[in-house]
Amino acid sequence: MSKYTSLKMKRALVDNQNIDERKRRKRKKVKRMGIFCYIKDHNIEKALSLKMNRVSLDVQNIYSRKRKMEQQNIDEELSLKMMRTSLDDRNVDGRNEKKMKMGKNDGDDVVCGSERQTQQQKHYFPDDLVFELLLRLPIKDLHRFRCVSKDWGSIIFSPPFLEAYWRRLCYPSLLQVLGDAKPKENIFV
Amino acid sequence: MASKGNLTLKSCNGKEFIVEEKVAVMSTTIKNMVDVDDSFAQGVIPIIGVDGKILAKLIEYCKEHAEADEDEEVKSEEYLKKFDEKFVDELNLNDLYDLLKASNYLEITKLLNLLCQKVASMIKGKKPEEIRRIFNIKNDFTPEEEEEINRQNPWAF
Repeated sequence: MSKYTSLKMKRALVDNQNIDERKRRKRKKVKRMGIFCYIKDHNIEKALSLKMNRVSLDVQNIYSRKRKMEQQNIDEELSLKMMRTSLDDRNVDGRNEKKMKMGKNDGDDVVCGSERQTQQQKHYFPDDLVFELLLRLPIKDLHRFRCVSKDWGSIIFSPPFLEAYWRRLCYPSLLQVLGDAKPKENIFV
Repeated sequence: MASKGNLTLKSCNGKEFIVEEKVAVMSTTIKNMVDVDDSFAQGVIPIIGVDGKILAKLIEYCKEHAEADEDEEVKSEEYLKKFDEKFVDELNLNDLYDLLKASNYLEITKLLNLLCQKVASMIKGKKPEEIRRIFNIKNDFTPEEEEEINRQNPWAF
């Protein structure tokens, strides 16, 4: 008998737990369906306003997160820059010390320095070279490259460039391209 | 005029090249230096900002063209054309840009023309953003200004 009753008690407990769980699930569902419940109740406006509120909240969250991220990035960049400059300073100091120790014949360091320089200035083109390059491009490209930078724009619209470009169009031989030969007659008069 | 003979060119990383004068004076810059001051012809001419690898390439090109100018039978125009094509094709991008800058600085007009043509054909039809990346240019326009320019000539884009 006692065994039977204990079994019954256990079952009853399990049943109770099941019922509780079902209730909880229902509540969750109701929460999730909140917006739709409103709609069912024909309070569409309320539902919409709820949605709008949520969306605006989300947007605000995103913005605040973005701001935080940006700040963090700036901070990180700053700290990185600081680190680099301090490292550079140390390197320079180290080199100077080395030079002092090694004396005048310190070929390796000279090479290192020049390599560093060339890496830094790698693709820096002087204006006169850009001038020569642009001379060899079609007009369509020139118009497009106006907005590459203000320097390029000012080169393209400078009178010397336009004159050289016209000269090239009118007398497309190699010598005239380089500006060695002058046009037989001035086309601008 | 400086005496005919050999000139010594020194690259920025200390490598020295001994070249004939007729080869060196392909560069207008060096020609002017030698014409103005005879002491350059005897001493070492430092080529600032050009390293040994690039200077060797420059000398290779100048040698070929100087010889062709002197003796047209041995090295005809066709031969030179082929040499130029091969010379340009063998260059990698960094060398091409370095050579271009060096030939501009040393005023080797033939080589400058050749390389400019090559680079121009490379950047033809590219977008402004790509050009900025290639030449390491910072965009100093505001977005509004850029849009204004784009609106002025939409046919170019």
